Amino acid sequence: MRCRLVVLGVMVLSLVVVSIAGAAQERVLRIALTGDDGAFTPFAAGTTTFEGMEWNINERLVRFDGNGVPEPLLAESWENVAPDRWEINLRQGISFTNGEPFNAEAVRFSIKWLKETPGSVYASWLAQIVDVEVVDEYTVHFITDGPNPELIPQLAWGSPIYPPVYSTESTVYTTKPIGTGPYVVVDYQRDVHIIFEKNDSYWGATPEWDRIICRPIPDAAARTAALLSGEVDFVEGLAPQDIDLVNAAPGARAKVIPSQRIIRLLLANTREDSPLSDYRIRQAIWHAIDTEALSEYALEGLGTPADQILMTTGEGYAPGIGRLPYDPTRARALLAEAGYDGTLIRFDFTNDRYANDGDVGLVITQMLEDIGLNVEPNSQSRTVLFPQMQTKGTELGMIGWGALTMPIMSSDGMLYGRADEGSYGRQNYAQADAPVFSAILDQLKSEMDPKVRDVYYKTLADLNRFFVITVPLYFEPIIRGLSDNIVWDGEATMEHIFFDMIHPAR
Amino acid sequence: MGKLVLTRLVQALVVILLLSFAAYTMLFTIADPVALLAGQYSSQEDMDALRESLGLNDPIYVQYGRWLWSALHGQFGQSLYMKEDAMTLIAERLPASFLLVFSTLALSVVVGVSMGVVAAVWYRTWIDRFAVALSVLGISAAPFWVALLAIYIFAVKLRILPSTGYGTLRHLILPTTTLSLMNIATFARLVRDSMIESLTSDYVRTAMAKGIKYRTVVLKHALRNSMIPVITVIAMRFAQLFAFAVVTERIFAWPGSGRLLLNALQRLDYPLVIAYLVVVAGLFVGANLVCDLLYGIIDPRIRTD
Repeated sequence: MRCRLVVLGVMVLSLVVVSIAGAAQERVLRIALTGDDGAFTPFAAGTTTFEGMEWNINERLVRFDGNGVPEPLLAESWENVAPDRWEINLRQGISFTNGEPFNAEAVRFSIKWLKETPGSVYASWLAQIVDVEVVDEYTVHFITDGPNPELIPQLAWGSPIYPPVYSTESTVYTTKPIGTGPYVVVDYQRDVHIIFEKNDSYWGATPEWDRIICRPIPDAAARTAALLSGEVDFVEGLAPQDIDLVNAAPGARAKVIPSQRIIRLLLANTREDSPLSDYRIRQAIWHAIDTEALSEYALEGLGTPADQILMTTGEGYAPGIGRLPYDPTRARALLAEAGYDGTLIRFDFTNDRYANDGDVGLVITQMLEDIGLNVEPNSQSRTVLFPQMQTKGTELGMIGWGALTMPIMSSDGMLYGRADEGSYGRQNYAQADAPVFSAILDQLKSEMDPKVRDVYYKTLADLNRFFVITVPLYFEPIIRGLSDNIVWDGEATMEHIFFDMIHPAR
Repeated sequence: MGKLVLTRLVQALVVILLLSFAAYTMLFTIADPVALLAGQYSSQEDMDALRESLGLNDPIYVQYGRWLWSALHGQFGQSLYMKEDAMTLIAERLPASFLLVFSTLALSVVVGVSMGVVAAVWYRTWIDRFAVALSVLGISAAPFWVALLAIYIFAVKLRILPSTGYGTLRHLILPTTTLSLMNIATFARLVRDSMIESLTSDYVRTAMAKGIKYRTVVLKHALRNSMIPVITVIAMRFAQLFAFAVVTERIFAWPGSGRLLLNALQRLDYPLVIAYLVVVAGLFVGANLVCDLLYGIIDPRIRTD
């Protein structure tokens, strides 16, 4: 009798132990975000943070690898079957978390919905798609407005696939989105937390985390504190001045990688009454800026100096075409040659958008004054400055562009803007233009042969060295804080937080 | 009393009208909200279409009239970024804000008034000097600095409290204490000064001569008279705390309305900003009304009727 009681006791005890151990095996990832105030809707300009959350739920047809090359995701393969027609073969056997199947019809619905609804933030990525045809259940054709060599990278950004039920239940998805991705939202309280759980029926690799708890902590010091106190495992947006502190603390470390956001100068070279209309003065500006020193003094050494506006690892970068070297003597000579008469130039830059942007702007102002230019620094909040630049333009401005994995759209959008049909030109707030640039760009946009495109990129970079319609400064750093419980495969080409790139440390 | 309430309601409406009109006209002079909403990568056509769909091409008085008309029907617009009804968004935040504000006021009153009484009773002794010194410290210490220091000590070093967040009692401790410091100091000084005046007055001397216990005199008579200024401050502080605990909310990641306002301002989410101002105006007026009513209860001489 006693023997049986003992056996029973042991069994109960071992059950208890196993269940406790089982519960303790739940892998939970805690993330501190820089902000919230979003909704899972593609119809309002949200923050990069929030968009990143969405990418884990609504997957795109393709995804960038570490070098910015698109690789298959929801699409298995693709082919350019005619100058204005691409055939995409979709992966089979995938369903959305509400049971609806992922197929060509869902793709067609998503793309059209994103293109046609007003206020869609993805409309610009999809602007060159004219129509989407369902060929069979797992094949779609994209018809583009003329040859579009960059369709696939555009899809990597702008093709989140939604279930067709979204067309009828339009408010459900703001808090409980439905997608094909590895995680689902189980609880979203704005400004408090977003809790994800793994999608048990995910088609791809088994998600490594059972639960992911994302908390917005807007204050940078408080985020660092949360990491140091062990309350979070992953911090988005660690303040540069906290890097040493975090590295010195036990149990945590900082990781810095260059991003795909280039910070550059805009120069109004077509403005008749501005000194910047003379190419010698623009060259002098480039010669006057020491980007290494800039990075060291204003960015704690974390910016990656750039000599072209495109990433070194991606398409479009022309090896051998460097920047104009830092040479204040030459700069002064150029100013004298141009007969610069001391006209004031206003320099617009933000102080709350990019890392240490206010300091960077002031350092640049000093470098320019050092060679004899008369520069008035105009440091503003982005709330004021961006609309101002978009509607009234700028003479000399500093701004960032973060979509370099689409080099054609980036080149067009950053540099050669005209508000024409078919042109992006979205960030050319200084209305810069130069002989032959527009012509080369028009060719670039529809050139399907990458070798020919390389020649165009090289020519554009080379021309910029002389005409200087933009000055590339540096690539912004991505700074994350990590606890020793996790490992992060951060890549420059993906600023968003992908949960499948955060792994438990063995 | 009915007359008082009615007058106040009318005043509230006038205030809200003026405030909303001022806000409407001023917000658009800061910058163009459409440019921010459309984002950096959008084209001129996209921006124009968006502007048209928001009705921003009409003159200001037309837009304001439209807003006023729907406000009278209880519709205060939709947040540009979160695509939800503005008042609903604010209402979501109210519990968190109220919790913080009420806890802060409760703590401040209890601790502050006690400190003030103690300081007044032991007037001019070291207890009093100590209390005064503490209150000076409390008023001078910047809330954000205190907040970060508290987080550092209690969350990072000692690890006994969470650094930020919302949900349990433990999360409430640090934000409440940080916000209370300045208020404790204010109440302590207020009560102390008022009590000292009362305690040296004739009626107190009479009461003591009559043989009433000192403690009763202090607490039942002198303190009651001192509460009038305290109530005034409570009413003012309530609305102020509610509207402007932005810094504390931001640091502690507290999901209150101050944070909502800050984000809305940064993005020029004007429907949300104006709806928020309407709520705050209502709160200020409401707080003042409650304050006046309480005066009447505490001191029958001040019944305004």
